[in-house]
Amino acid sequence: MKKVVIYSTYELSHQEIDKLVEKIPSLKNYQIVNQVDKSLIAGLVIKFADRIIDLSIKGRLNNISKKLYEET
Amino acid sequence: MSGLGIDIKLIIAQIINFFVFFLIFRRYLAKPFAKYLDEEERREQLKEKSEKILKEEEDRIKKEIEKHKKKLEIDYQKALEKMKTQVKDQREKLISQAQKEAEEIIIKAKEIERRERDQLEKETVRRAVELASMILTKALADFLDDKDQKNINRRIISHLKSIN
Amino acid sequence: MKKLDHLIEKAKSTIQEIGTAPIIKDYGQVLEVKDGVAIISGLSNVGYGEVVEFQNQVKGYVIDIDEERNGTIILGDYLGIKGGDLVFRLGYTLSVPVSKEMIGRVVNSLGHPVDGLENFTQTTNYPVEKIAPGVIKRKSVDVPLQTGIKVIDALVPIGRGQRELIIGDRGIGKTTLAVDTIINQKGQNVICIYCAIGQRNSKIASVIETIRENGAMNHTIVVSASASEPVSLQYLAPYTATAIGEYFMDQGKDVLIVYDDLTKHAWAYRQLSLILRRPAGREAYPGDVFYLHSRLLERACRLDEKYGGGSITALPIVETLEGDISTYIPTNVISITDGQIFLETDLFNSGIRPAVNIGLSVSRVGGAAQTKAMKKVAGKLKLDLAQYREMAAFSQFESELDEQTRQFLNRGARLTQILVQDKNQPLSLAHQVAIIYAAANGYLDKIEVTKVKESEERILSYLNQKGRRWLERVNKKNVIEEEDEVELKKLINEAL
Repeated sequence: MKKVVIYSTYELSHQEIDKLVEKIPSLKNYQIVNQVDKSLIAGLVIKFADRIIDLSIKGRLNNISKKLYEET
Repeated sequence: MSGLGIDIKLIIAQIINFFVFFLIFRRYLAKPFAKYLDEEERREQLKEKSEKILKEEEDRIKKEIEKHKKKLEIDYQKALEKMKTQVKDQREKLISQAQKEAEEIIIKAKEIERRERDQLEKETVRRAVELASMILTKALADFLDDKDQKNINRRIISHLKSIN
Repeated sequence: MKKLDHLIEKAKSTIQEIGTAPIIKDYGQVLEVKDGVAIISGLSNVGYGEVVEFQNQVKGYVIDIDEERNGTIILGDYLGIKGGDLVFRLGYTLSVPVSKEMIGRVVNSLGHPVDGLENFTQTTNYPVEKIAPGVIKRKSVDVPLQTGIKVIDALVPIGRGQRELIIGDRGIGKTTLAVDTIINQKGQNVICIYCAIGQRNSKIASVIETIRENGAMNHTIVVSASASEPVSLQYLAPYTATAIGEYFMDQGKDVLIVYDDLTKHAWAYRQLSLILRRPAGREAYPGDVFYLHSRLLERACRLDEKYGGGSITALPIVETLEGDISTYIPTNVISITDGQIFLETDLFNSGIRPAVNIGLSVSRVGGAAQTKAMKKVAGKLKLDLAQYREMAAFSQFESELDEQTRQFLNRGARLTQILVQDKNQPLSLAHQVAIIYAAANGYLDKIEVTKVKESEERILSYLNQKGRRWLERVNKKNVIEEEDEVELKKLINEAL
């Protein structure tokens, strides 16, 4: 079964993971692994084999800086 | 008379001799000689006359040379004047050309300066963005404690629109 | 300071605009990096021809899609890419920014300026790969493209919208021919694009210098992918140049693109294909090397008025070895183009420059792309030269030939001499017509062959002094009428 890694800044509880699966049903087909990554500041990053869903503050900050960088 | 030794025939012969000689002399020596003296005098007169003419010529030529000299002097002055004005024109032309080139250089320099300034301003904004993001990252990392993070996660998950 | 404020305002508004939607990115991981090509796993949703971005901000172009892995060519320096790096899909197919500001500038294969001057501000994006306009959109070629070179304009004329191949060995004058054509487009309302593929940096610099010295830079764009640039950029350069050309063509303008040269382009593609492990065919080229050039050159065409009426004329250059035009790439490109200009070493070495082999060079558009004035004088020229070529073998037996043959040889030798032209000296239409008329109608027959060039210069300078009105008239009207012919005869007689 394919793996999906969920990065978060602290270890997620089962309820939190279940709530996530509710919102993203395709997660049911994967084996969910939870990894702690403090550099995210807050939020989650869901990493499939070929897709990343970035819900972290670090990701948002990077996005903004990159957009601003390209504007100038 | 005969006692004296005077021979009348001889004297008569002598006198005739003398006359013949006189006639011959007159004809063949005196005349040419007189002619020659006349010639000499005439030559003298000619010489005087030609000397006079030469002198007149000389004076005339001297006058002419003076006139020419004066004219040359005037021409030289004129040429000098012309050259002076030409030099002045040339100098002015060079100066205006140099001015034009200087202006062009200034314009180019301004262009380069403007470009560099734009570049600099862009760099500044970019660095500012970097700095801002660094500040934010640090501030949030230090500021958010566990409870905040749990809350944030809860909110993110609930706000999440269904994705496949 | 105003600019700074403006930038800050823009930054603020960008921040406001960023929504709160989650950031979903397709990504892959670099498995292998080989000499400008990266093999990536993942990225299962990427499409062919899409742009991807590596972790170090370098972009890539997907040209190989497999079940498990994708092959992308790296559009930049591949030295910073490590195995395991993440690669993100950007979601759009490769396109280049094009702009009117590009005229007079030197850009690279990605449309970025490389001449040290400022960036372009108002750009639109044009796709690098595009299907050529269909048959309905096209119009036949009937407007001449004056190259300013007598041999070409008279015997192998090029029209706007045509593809004409320039083929020959190295060092024979192929680039010179193309550059002279670019120089002659001054005032002709044609935008020229010089695409250098895999050339030496020094050569590209000297070509730019030549174009600039002759005042042609203000209607020329240079797309440069020199031999020191990554192979992927050399592969893309001609397509970028064509995209820029299409931008101007869509505005109804006439464009001239010189591809210098397609041989090195094929080499670059061969290198990429071999790294991607595509099966090697003849001469180790991949099987689609024909399509590589045909899809490029088919985009050069003339559009119908309904679609703007613009045109792209293509002058691809191909280098041969030992004059062998029967190798793979030359035969491919010859069959794609509408004619070729064949330059020969022997002619070059015997002083005939441009070293055009008139017998083997052809223009499939031909007379349709010639002005009436030129057609009138060129017809006779062609005939005389053809007869000369036939008799050329007998020129050694001069004393034993009959009068007529000797006449042909005589005339032909002088015609060949007037077709010789110095480089970077393009002639206007009227000048060319005058010279060819003089030579073809026997005005130079009595002059010694070695002095023919002198006489030509005398005629030209005389025309420039006394015949100026005639020149202007012919250049404007493009026809020679009775009175023009009479005046020309008078002028030629006076000059000689």
